[in-house]
Amino acid sequence: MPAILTSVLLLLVLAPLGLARGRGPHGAVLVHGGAVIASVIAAAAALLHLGGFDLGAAAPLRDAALPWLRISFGLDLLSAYFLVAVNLCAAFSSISALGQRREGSLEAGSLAAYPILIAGMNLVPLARDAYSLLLGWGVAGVASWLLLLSSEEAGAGRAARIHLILSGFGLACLLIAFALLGGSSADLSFESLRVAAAASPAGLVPALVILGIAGGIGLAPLHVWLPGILAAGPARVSALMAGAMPVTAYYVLLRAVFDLAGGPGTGWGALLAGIGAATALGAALRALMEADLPRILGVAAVGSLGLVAVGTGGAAVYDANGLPNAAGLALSGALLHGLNHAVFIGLLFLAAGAVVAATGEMRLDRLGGLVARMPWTAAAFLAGGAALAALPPLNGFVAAWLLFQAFLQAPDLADPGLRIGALAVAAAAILSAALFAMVVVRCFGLVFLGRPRSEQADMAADPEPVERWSMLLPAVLCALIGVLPLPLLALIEPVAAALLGTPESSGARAGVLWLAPQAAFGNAYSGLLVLAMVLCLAVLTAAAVRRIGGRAARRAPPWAGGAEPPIAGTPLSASGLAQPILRVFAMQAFAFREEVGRAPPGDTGAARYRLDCRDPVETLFFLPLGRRAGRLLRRAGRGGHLGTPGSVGLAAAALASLMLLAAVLA
Amino acid sequence: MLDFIASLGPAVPGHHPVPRHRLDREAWIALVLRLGEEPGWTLLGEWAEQDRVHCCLCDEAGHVVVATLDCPEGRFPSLSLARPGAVRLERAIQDLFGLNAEALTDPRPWLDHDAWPVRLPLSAAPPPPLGNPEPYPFLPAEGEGLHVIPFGPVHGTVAEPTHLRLTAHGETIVRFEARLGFAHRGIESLVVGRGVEAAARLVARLSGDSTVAHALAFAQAVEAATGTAPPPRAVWLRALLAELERIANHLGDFGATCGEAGVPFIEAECALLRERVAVAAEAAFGHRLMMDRVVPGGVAVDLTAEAAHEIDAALQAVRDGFLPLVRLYDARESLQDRTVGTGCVARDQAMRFGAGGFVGRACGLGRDARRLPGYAPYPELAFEIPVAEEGDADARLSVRAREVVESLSLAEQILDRLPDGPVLAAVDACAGEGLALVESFRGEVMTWVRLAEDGTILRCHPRDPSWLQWPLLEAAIERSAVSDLSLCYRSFNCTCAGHDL
Amino acid sequence: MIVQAIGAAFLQLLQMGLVLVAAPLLTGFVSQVRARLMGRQGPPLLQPFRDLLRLLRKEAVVQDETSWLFTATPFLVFSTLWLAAGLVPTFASGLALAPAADLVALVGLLAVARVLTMLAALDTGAGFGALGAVRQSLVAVLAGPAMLMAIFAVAAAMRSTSLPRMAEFVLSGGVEPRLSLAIALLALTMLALADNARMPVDGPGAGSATIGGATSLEYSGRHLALIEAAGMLRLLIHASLIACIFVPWGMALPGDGALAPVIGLGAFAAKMAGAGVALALTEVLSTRIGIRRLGEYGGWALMAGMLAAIFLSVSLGA
Repeated sequence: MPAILTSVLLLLVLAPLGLARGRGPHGAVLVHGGAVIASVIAAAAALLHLGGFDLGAAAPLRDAALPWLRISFGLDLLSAYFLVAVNLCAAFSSISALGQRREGSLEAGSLAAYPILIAGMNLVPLARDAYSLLLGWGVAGVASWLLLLSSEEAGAGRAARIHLILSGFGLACLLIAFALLGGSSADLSFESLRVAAAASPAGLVPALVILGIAGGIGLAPLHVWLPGILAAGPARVSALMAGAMPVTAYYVLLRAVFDLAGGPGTGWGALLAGIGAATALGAALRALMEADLPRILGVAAVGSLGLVAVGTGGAAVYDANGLPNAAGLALSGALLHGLNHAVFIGLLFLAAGAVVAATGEMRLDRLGGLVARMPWTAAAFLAGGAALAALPPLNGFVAAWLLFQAFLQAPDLADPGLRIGALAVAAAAILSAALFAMVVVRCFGLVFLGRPRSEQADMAADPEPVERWSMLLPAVLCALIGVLPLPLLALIEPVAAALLGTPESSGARAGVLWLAPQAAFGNAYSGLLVLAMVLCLAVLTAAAVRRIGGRAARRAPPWAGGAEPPIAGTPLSASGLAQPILRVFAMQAFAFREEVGRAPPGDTGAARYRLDCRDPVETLFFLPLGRRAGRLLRRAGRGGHLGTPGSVGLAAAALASLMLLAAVLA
Repeated sequence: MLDFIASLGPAVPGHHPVPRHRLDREAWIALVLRLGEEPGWTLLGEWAEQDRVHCCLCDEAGHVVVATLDCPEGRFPSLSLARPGAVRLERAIQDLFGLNAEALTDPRPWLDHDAWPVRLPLSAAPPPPLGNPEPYPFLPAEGEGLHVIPFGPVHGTVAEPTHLRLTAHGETIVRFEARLGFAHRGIESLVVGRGVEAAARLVARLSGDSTVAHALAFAQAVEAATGTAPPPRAVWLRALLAELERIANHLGDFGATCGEAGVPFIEAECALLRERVAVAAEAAFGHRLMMDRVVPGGVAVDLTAEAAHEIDAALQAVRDGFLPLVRLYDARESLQDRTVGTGCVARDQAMRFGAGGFVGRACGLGRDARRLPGYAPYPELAFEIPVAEEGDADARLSVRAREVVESLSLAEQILDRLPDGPVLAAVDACAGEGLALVESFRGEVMTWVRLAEDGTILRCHPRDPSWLQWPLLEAAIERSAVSDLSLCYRSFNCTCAGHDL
Repeated sequence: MIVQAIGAAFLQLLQMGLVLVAAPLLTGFVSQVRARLMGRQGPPLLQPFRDLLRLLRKEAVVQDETSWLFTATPFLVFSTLWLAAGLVPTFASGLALAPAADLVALVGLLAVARVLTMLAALDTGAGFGALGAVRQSLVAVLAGPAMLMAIFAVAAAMRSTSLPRMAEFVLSGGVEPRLSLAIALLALTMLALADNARMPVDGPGAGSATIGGATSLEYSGRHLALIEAAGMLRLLIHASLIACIFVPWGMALPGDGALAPVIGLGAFAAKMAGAGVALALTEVLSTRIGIRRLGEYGGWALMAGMLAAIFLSVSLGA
C-alpha cells in the first residue's frame, strides 16, 4: 500500500519534470523510465497484496492529503487485482515509449500528462471514498484529453473533445449515482456508503453507474466514439487508453454496484449482460468493416469489454437467483478477461503502433508482407490476436471457457425468460468470439502476410530491442496465463468471492495442471497439456515426414496460371475479405449495400463498385445529434491545438470545476 | 435487306449459294449506319482477305448476303459501333492481316499475344515480332477494395487454355474478362494452298467437340464454290452424324452443368449415355467423334445395316435414360435454385451480338441454321426448335434438354428414311467462292472459302459460334456471384480452340 | 491407481494410432460407397493411404515470399487435429488425455486449425487462395458458434462437457430421448457437412465454387499430404464425436475388462461404416448449395443449435 502510493507520488512528480525537461534530450527517457519503475513497483506490490503478503498498513490511509475533502486511500483484494491489471498495461506501454527513439521530441505537455494519466488510473482503485475515486477518474480523463490534444494524428482534436465530453458525462453520472447511494449523508467514504446502501434499495444506482462507465468502456449505444478516440492517439497512449482505462472503468462498476450497492440484481444484471453481448457482436461486425488498423483495434477493444460485461452481468443474475457457484464462475471469467484485456489489447495497440511507425501506413490495403520484415512484431501481434479471438492455448480462451461453463448452468435458473435470455446472450457472445477470430485473420493476414502492398511496407523493419520487448513481454504473459491459468485464478477467486459475498467454494481446483472448477461439474481444460501435446505431435509428425519424404523444398515463384507474372491489381483487399460475412450478418443491421455499375458487353468503359454500410446507432440517433453538437463543439473548441501553458491551465480549470461540482453536489 | 445491299453495290459473280456484293467505302459506311437502325439484321461474320473485308448478314426472314469492301489503303470503317459482336472479329482481322478497323470501339490486340514467330501472318509480307510484348491492358474496374482473381491459361478448373480475369469484391463480381488466343494454331494460314481434302482434315480439327459441324460447313462451302452436288445418301448421313454429335455434346454439357450445380448423380448418368453414343459412333463410323467422316463431296464411310441398328439401339438407350434425368432435374428445387436466375443474358444483348445456338434460343431468339436459311435434308424432316425466354442457365439447360429430344427424333427419322446410293461424289478442281451455314450444337458455324483455279484453297474462314457467345458469357458472369462462375461457364461451354483458330 | 493410469495411457496411445489409420479409411470408404451408389467402381479402400504416401514422397514446392507460417501450418494443423481426434473417445472412454480438453476445448482446437489454414492461404498472397480464405471464413464464423450451441444443448442435458462423461451418462441410461437432442444431432450433422466441405455445402469437383480446395491450392508434396490427412482427420473427428455423444454403445468403459476394448473397436468400426454410408448417401442424393446460400445454411445450423438449447432449457426447468 505505501509502495503503491509512493509510486503514484513518483508519477505525479514526474509530470512537472516532464514539463520542465520536455524539450531536453533526456526528458522523455526520464519520464517514461520513471513511469516504468513506478508501474512495475505498483504492480508488484498489488500482486503481493493479492497473494496475501501485505506490505505495511492494511488500514486505509484516512484524511491523508486533503482533509477538508476527507480523501482516503486504501487497498483491498479488488483494488489490488485491478492495480495489477492497470499497472501491467502501463508498464508495457511505458517500456514501449522508452524504447521509441523517433525523430522529433515529444511535446512537453504530453510528456507531463502521461504520468498523470497513469497516476489517475492508479488512484481510482486506491480510493476508499467516492471523492477520491472521482478525483482519480477526473485526473485520468483530463490527462488523456491532454494527451489526445497533443497528438499529431489527424482527427485527434475532435477525438479529444469527444473524449472530454464522454468523461465529463460519465463523471456526472457517477457523481449522481454516489450521491444517491449516500442518501442524506455527506460522508462519501465507502464504509458509510455501504451502510447507507444496505439501508435503502439501490434503485437507479446501477443504471447510473452503467451509464457512467458506458462511455469509458464503449458499451452500446455509446460505442460509437471510443474506436475513433482510441485510434487517434499515439501508440503508447492508445495502449493505455484502450487497455487500462476501460479496466479502471470496469473497476468502478464492480466497486460501486457490486461492493457498495450490494449487487445490481437480476434486472440490471441481465441488462448489463445483454448490452455487453450486443456490444461484442456489433463491435465484431464493425471491426470487419473498418479498414484502418488502429480503428479495428479500437473496435476490438470495445468488443472484448463487451464480453467482460457479459460475464459480469451474468454473475449478477446468477447471484441474485441463488446460483452462487455459477456466479463465481462467471465473475472469475469476467475478472480474468479484464486482466487479459489490459494485457492483449495493450499489446495489440503497441504492435500496431510499431507497424504504423515503421511504415507510416495504417490502412490494411497498404500494408502486407510484414511477417518477414517485422518478425517479432508479427509474433507478438499473432499472440495478442489469438488471445482476442479466444483461441486455445492463449489466455482469452481460458476466460471464454470459464464463461461458457458458467452459461452452461443457465438451465438451472428458475425463470424461463432468464434461461432463454441467457441462451441468447451466450449465442451472441460465442458468435462475436468467432467473428473476432475473423477480425484477427483479416488484420494479421492483410498486415503481416502476403506481399507488401506499398513501398513503405516493403521497407519496414522491426523496432529497437526495448520496444520489441514491450510487445514480447505481454505476448509471453498472454501465453503464460493461457497455459497456466491456475495460479492467477487462485488469486481471482477470492476477489470474486468477496464481491459476491459467497464463500470461496466457487473454484476448488484439482491439481495444478487441470482447470477444473467444481462449479463446472468437474469439466476440465489444460492449456499446458494441449500446447505440449500439439507441439509434441507436430515434432513427431515432422520427424516422421522427414523420414518418409525428406525435407527438400523447392522455392518457386507463385503460379499465376501461366499468365505473365505481375498480375496488376491487388489479389485481396480488406473490404473484400470481409464482404461475405458482412453480407450474411450485416445486411439488415448495418444497412450493408453494394452497388455495381457494370459495363455492358463490348463496352470498354470502367465497371464501378460502391459499398455502403453504417452503424445503425449512428444513423438513427447520433448523426442528427452530432450535427447539432458539432456546431457547438466547434465554437467551444476553437483554437484546437493549445500550447503547453494553455493546456495545463485548462486542465487545472477543468479539474477545479469538477471538484467544485463534486463538493456542491455532496 | 437483300434489296438494300444490292442497291449499295454490284453482285460479284461466282459466289454461291448466296449473293456477294462489292461495296465502296461510302456504301460500306451507309451499311454501318443502316445496321444501327435495323436491330433485326444479324451480323453472322466478318472476315478479311489481304486487301478486302467481308461481312455476312442475315435478316429475320433468313436471307443471307455477303458484303465486301476493298480496302487497298489497309483500312476499313468498323462495324463495331453498330454491332458489338464485330469487335473481336475485327480485332482478329487487325492481328492477322494488318488491316486497320477505323473507329473500332476496342482496338486492343486479340489473337496475337506477340508470341508468334511473325506478326500479321496472313498479310502480304509478315513483319517480324516486336519481341517485347506490352502487358495486355485489361478493362478497368473502379471502386474501393476490389481484388483481382486470375484463372489460367493453365488452371485446373479451366479446361481449355484461356485466361479469365475476375475483378471482384468478396463474392460480388464487378468485372469479368476472358482473354483468348492461347489456342491459336494458325489454321487459316495452314489451309492456304492445300487441296480441299487436306484442308478438310485441318478444319475438322478446329474444335474436337464440333468436328462434324465444322467439316460439314467446310464441305458445303467447297461444294457451293465448285458446284458439286453430294449424293442424297451422303446428305442424309451427314445430318445423322451432325445429330449424333449434337446429342453427345448436349448430354455431356447437361450432365456437366448439373454436376457443377451440385448433382453428381446426373453428371455420372449423362456421362454414361454420352459414352453410349460415342461407342455407337465408333462402331458405325470408326471414330468416336466422327472426325474426318464428312468430306467435301459426301461422307467418307457408309453406314451398314448392323451399324444402323447399333445407332438405333444407342438412340433408344439415350431416350430411355435421358428423359428420367430431365424429369429429375425439373423436380429438384435445390438444383433449380442454383440455375434459375444464374448467368442471365438479356435478349437485346443477344440480338446485338447475334448469338445463335442454345445461348440465343434460351433468350427468345429462335434462329437455327437448319431451319433458316435451311439446308438439306432438314426441310424434309419434322422437328421443332425449342425456345425459352428467361436467358438464364436454367433456360439454356432446358433448351438443350429439349434439343436432345428433337435430335433423337431427327436421327430416328433419318435412319428410317435413309436413301440408298453412293456416298461420295468427286469434287471438281475449279475456282469459286462458297459460303455455308451449318448448325453445330453451339450455334451456326459460318464457313467461307475461296478456291483457286487448281482447286486449292486461297482463303478459308471458319467462324465458330463461340465468337459471338464469349462476350455474352462475360456479361452473364458479371451478373452472378463468384461461386456461380463455373456454373455459368459450363452452361455456355464456349470453345477456345474453335475460336482461337 | 497406477495400473489404471498405465491402462489409460495405453488406451490413449492406441487411440492416437487408431485415428491415424481410421481417418484415411473412412475417407476411402465414403468415396468407395459413393462411387458404387453412382454406378461406378470407385477407388480401392486403401487409395487415400497411397495418395498420402505418394504426396509425402514428392518434392515439395513452396511459393516464394511465403513466411514460416505457410510451411509450419500443415504440421500445426495436422497435429492439432490429430490431438483433437485423439481426444474424442472412439472405442474406449478411459483415455489419459481426456481431462486436458473437454468439448469446448475441442471446438477451440478445430477453430485454431481453421484459423491457421486461412492465414496460410492469405500468406500466399494469391487471389484464389484469398478467395478460399474468404469462403472458409464464412464457414468458420457460422460453424464454430453453431457447434457450441448444439453442444450447449447436449451438455446441459448430460450435465457435462467432458466427452467420456457424456458417453458414460448416455450409457447409464441417464438421458431419455428428447426432441432437443434430435435437433442438436441435426445441427451437428449439418456442421459436420459444412466443416468438411462435404456435399450439400461443397464437394469434390466443385471447381471455382470450392471452399476447401482453394485454401490448399498452393501446397504440394508433403505439405499437401499433411493438409489432406488433416482433412480426413477432421471428418473422423466429426463422425466419432457424433457417435460418441449419440450412440456410445459398445464403447469400453474403465473397469470393463480386457476384452471390452476389442468389442469397442468392432463397435467403432461399425459406427464409422454407418456414418460413411450415411455420408455417401447424402452426397449422392443432395444438391450442392451455392455459396450465396451458405450463409443461410449456416444460419439454419445455428438456429437448430439455438433451438435445441432453448427446448432443452425450457424442458429441464419444467
